[in-house]
Amino acid sequence: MKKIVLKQMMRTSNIKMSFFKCISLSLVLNVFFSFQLIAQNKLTINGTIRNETGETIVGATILIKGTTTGAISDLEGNFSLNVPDSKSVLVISFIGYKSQEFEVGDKINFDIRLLPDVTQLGEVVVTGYSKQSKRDVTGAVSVISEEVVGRTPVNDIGTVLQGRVAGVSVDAQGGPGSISNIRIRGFGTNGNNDVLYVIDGVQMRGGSNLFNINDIETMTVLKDPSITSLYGAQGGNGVIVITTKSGKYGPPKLEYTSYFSWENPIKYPESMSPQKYANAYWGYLSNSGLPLNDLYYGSGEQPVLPEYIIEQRTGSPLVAFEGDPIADPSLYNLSTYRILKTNQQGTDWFNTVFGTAFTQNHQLNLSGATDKSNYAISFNFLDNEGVVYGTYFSRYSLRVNTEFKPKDWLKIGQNTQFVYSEGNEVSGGNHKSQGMLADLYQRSPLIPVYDVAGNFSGPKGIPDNLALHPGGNNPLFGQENALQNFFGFTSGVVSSAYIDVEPLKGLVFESKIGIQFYPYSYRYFLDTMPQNIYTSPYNSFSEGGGWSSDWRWLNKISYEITLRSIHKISAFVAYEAREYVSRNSGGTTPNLPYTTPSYLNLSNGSPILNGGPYNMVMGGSDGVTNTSVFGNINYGLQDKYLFSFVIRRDGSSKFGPLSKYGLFPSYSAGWRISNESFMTKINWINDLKLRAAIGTNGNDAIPSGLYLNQYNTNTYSSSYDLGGLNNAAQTGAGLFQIGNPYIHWETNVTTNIGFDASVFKNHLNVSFSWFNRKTKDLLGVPPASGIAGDALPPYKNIMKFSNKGVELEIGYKNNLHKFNYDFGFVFSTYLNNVDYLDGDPESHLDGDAYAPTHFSLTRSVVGMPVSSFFGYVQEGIFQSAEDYTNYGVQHPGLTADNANGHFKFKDVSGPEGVPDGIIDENDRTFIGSPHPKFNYGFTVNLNYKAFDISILLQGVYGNEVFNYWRAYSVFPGMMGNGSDDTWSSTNTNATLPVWDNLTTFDKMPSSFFIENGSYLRLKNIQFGYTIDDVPYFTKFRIYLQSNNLVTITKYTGIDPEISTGSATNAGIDFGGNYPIARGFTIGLSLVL
Amino acid sequence: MKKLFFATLFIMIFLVACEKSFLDVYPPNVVGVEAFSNKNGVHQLLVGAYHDVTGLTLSSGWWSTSGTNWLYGDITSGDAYRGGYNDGADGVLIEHFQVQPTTGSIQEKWRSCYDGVSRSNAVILAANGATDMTETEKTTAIAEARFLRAHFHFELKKMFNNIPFIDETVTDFEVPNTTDIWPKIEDDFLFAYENLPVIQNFKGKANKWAAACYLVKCYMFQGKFTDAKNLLDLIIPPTYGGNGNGANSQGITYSLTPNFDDNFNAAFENNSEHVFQIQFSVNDGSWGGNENIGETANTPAFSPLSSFFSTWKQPSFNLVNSFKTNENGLPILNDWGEDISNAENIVNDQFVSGTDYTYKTYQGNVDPRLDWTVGRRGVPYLDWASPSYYGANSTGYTSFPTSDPNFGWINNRLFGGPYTPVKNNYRASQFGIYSDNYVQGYLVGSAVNFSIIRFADVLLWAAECEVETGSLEKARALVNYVRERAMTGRKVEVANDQFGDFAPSAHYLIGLYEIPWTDPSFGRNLVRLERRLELALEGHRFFDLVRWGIADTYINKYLTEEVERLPANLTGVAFTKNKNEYFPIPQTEIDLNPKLKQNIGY
Repeated sequence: MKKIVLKQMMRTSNIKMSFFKCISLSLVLNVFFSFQLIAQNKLTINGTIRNETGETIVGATILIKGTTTGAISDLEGNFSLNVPDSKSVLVISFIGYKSQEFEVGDKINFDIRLLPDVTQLGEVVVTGYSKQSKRDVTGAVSVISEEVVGRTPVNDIGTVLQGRVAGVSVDAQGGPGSISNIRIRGFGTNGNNDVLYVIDGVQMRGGSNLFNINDIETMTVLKDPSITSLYGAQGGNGVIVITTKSGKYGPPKLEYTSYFSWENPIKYPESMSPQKYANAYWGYLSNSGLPLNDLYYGSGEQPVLPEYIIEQRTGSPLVAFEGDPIADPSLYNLSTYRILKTNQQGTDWFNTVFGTAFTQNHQLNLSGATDKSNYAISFNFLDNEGVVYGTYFSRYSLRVNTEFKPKDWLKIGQNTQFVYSEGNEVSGGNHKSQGMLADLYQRSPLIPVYDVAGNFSGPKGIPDNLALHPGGNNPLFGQENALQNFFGFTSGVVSSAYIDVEPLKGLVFESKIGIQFYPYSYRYFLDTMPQNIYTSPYNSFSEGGGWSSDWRWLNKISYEITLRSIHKISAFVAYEAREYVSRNSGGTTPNLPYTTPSYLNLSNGSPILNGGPYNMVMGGSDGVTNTSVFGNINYGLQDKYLFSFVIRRDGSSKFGPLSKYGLFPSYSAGWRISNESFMTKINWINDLKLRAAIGTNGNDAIPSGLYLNQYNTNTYSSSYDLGGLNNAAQTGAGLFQIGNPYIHWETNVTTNIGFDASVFKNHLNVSFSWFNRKTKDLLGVPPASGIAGDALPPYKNIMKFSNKGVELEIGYKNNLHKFNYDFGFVFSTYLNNVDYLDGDPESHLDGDAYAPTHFSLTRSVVGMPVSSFFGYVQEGIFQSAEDYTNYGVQHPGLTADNANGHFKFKDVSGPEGVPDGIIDENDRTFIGSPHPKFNYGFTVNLNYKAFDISILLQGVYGNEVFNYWRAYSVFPGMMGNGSDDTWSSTNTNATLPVWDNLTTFDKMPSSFFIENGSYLRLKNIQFGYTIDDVPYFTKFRIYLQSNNLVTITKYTGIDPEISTGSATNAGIDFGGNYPIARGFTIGLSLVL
Repeated sequence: MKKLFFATLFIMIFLVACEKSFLDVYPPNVVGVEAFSNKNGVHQLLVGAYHDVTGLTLSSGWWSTSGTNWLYGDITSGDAYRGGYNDGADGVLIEHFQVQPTTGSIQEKWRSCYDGVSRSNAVILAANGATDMTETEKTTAIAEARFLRAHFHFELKKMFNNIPFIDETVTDFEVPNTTDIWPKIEDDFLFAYENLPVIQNFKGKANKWAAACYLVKCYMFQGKFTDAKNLLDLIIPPTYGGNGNGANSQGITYSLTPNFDDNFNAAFENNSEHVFQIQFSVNDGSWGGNENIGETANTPAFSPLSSFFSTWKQPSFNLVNSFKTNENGLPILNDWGEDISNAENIVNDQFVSGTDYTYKTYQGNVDPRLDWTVGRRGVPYLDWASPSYYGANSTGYTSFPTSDPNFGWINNRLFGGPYTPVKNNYRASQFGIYSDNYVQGYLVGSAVNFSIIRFADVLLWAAECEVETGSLEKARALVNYVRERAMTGRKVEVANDQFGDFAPSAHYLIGLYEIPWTDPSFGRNLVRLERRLELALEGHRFFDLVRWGIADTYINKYLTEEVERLPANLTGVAFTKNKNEYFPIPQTEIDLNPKLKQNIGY
């Protein structure tokens, strides 16, 4: 296809015909008028109209602004027109392309490029392997334009998609440099649910914070198998195809955009005062029948807060009051005798660690194109601070995209990004029950941030102790330490290069190589850290790094032909090979005599061979190869009936000889009902297409080598001091992972039925899909008999589940004179159900088990949504002995005499399947679901002259959150602070049970922790001001934006948007999430 | 023409790229079984199997799987309590005989032992397939693997009684537990006995005589006293009245070490008393993987040894009392040879403030082994300070004052009593050498080896055999060997405390049984008591009580007496006959293998 052929459009439908006839008629009239004008003016101009790739456009209209004079481009794309004078303004338009206006000036020859208008029907769907007009696509896709991406000042693709694309749910992880979890149509696997990104043909799993999203031109979300089958075993979780900016026809264009943001955490929990905490502890002792006696609080009727705490290297800490000689500052010694002046008012650890974060982003683009080449160069600098002290992410990115056409049958191009990044995370990691953020809930408010000498106070003052003294490392110290002593970078080159040969019209040979190469390095110094729990007698220095490379080579033959103007056929076959390799190595050395940063290297340590640590080295590697053969045939009959067939055969070295290959076909069909003759009378329908697809995908995102028995020489679990030397173990080996030679692909079979409609003069666009996505052969690790040993049991293909749902996208766009408005609404819902599990109705798959109870919080069984919340049903608190007796049942440790104030759990069942009067394992049941009833988003864009406003509301409805951080923090019996509403004889309406040592059962996973997770969030509101042709600039835009300004939710934790990353722990709030921040942004955009 | 050239080039690339072997990539992150079918590989697998003797396997629960069995053999036997708090942890359930088939610890122990079995079997398979080993080398490797396999099965057998035996031929793990596996365990030990050398290239390896001793242990557990006696005769050297050649893995003839405490000191381990030990080690690059991680919580709380908040194995009043001796240095007995020491508690500081300087240590006679076994106030704890004592002096370490008496070396006396365990801990002078510099939480691991069998144990089996089938006088002589060593060996130095005005910490007096034994029941009682005193807190006691068939009477009697002394812990606790002798088969294991039958009573 070298030309956008008008003829074809003219044949498409009667409506189109009549529509076009009107235009043609008016044009003819215009031409007639123009002849009249020629009589008055001698200025004749001519030119050629081309599309963005340089192909000529037939039938574009060229109008003189403010008149009805104009012309139409001919079969070669040429036009000729007489204009009144050099001040005349030409308006060039063509369906599917953005109109262009410019002053004639003193030129008489014009080469005009039209850019596609992705907001119109002519949207092109780029699948990575092919391009198709969206109106011909027979599957469910959503396209996000450059404009939307450009107006979203974030560094995260998920945030751009959230609320804007139906069927896409996003967990914003927060934290600088983090990437959201994107889920398309619910969970597709218990393993890796990350979508596949295809950036200029280079595939990457789960996205990367190294990618500069300011380079995006279009982003297409492929949701159903009619297209995702092209990606076979990679496409099971959905595919996001990204095309980066290429140069547009014209002289070099220089563009600068930037934004500056200030962010603060939305909310943090309240802390309990030290005195309240001590009182509660006293209550605990007295309720437990223990003597009112404590190292910190003395022994008396009332607890007395100590004024000094002395932390020692070992043994119990000392407490003292003002004037006590043991608190004499002259005794202070950082390692052995640290003196803390307690904070009687209470240290607000959250306030200490959180603060305002500043982010800046600068992007410089240079682009342009000629007939034979185009280029786009961008430079980006991002410096992203986090609201948690010490966290940041900064990145430098350079992109060069070029394409050359040495011959009209030969095209050569490349897209390359170079990137370098640095960053610092929360110590201990995000999203974990053990991370620093989770620890914040458990820090004693009595401990000051700094000791009397100005050093960070440590945890030794308050040992981690069942006596309910909150302990743990100084959170601020951990962050400060990481900031001072941890260094590292990740860099990368992501590139794709291609060559297209078109020996015959319509027949294209393409060869494309995609490369990703990521070298990284880290080094860190660990001092002895005398104030930490993990005190080391030696300092140590670690350094290491690694790299990963991933190349992919695609060879493709495609052919496209239109026969007798009614049969439109396009097809391709392709072969693709890919190899992934990664290696890493590193070492640690102890006892560095110099701690000056410049002297820190691995050769300067001095290992102690007897009675001390050795030098240590570590390393690892991985490697995977894939080969694929695939093809696609699209057939369109009279632009009414569309058929598409995709087949892909993937081979992967991840699987054993018994199941190396998988076959993934898909079939789809579309019916453009609006082109049928019986629809011609219905004028308000401009376009209506019904579509249906069924197809398969796989998921191979599993560790390699699971088909093999894997041994290791892990020193921790396999070495042994066979020589009886007491400090030198021999290397041993053991089986640690049992293999399963029969392991094979997880497969999705998806049915998708829907329609796309444009009505009311294309003002209203509606897209609807119903889908049924069945995943079979899901991998799981069913528990294995311990008789086989303690190695990790084999992975097996044991499970089937389905996600059924609907997606709706509605867009309305219109204008009242200069007031333009558009509204968008997206809605999606899915129902997940486990259909099969290991062939055994009793089987269940549990989520991870965590402290404090080591019971897992989720369970998957047949007939329930995957990873439903699982636990006891809590039905209030025992108020009296009668209450207990009447209730009749209780868990161990309680009797009618002492049960007051403890939780009542429901007797759901027993060993015989009926309630048995005993609360035990049998009474755990399903208590909630992390799956929302629906997701929705609402966008408004208003524009009047230079002003614009855009608003994005985004919400989730009907899900639940397992607010388990309460078990670590406010919950009685745990080492936490944060609530004083515990039960006592004088506070019988308490929400929390009594503090005593009779039972730890109250904090078992139960409905007590389940909360409504629905929320509606004003995700984004932006005011912009844009003017063209100001002095020095052709375009100038400034905007002000706020993120997460308002959230409406009943959830009591920090934020209902929970991100755990894993399917089996979905919707569990462990308290360690990086909080979502509220931000204000100023942005600027200039075109020179 | 050019176009044609390019098109042809493409087609060629297309064909070349379809190379099939491209996918035959062995995952580089995987070490497969092929790596071990050679001499070095077999050795590595063997080291891996030995590692499991520590109990620290992949899903280890540290204390629950500890090779030292303190959780199952000590706190269940009347010798110790589960200290700390009534925190509902498995340890408390186990101490209180409330263990359920769903209790996590027992499943961990089960899995951990079968992991050892699996690793032992892997050695056999690899050795069979190795091409660079001689037949003798193969046989030796297999004999060692079978020794270890038998050891792990023995661990399971004594705990669960009804268990499946897994050898290297098993691939379907749905094996029933209804067949008695003693013969198979015996077979393995017999094979090891017949095929292992005496002198091994590594001290920590099991040798011929270790296999013989373990075989004796099997006989003892089955009451096969004649078989045991015959074999013991081949083991016990003439010095101890036998005709045997028993020797440790370095070829040193078995004998009792001069000092009792040499067996609990990392500097003296693998000595002549060593039969088979867990070779604990520290600072060996394993990040604590070979330290005695299972007993890291069994150090005095908040002491210089540990900043852990609890001591989870605390010696009982009952145990401490039984170390009392009379004017002849003999246990406090009635006329039938029964230990009646518990009629009266020895002086202790259970209810004494740490700042009460008038407290005096018990002034009566005690067996010197007491203070190598139990830490108590006023007596040096190895070369550390004196437990629970304000400003106590010690050799080499100055204790610091603590402002709260209840935070001395014991966290919660109401639940755990005033005593701390000693045998598994390292000395102050060995800090950083035999203690791990890698601290896991507050827990400091020790390199002190743990004897699965030591020669004193063997002598006392011999004494038992003599009581049951032979000569009471020989039994008396054997018991006296053990007592004599305690008598002549090193004692805890009983220096006055720093204030100088108090009496010495303890009066040690131990004597030999001089009067001939005439009544088998009398002799039996004394041999059993001697086992308790000599092997206290070494993980054997509960299993001894069960094999003697006296677990229910003994333990319930103990509980009746002890509940008065420690009501917060022991109220309502009872041992159920014909149930609590064995632990329940883990429910999860039954769920996964329906051929397993649950033990009686559960």
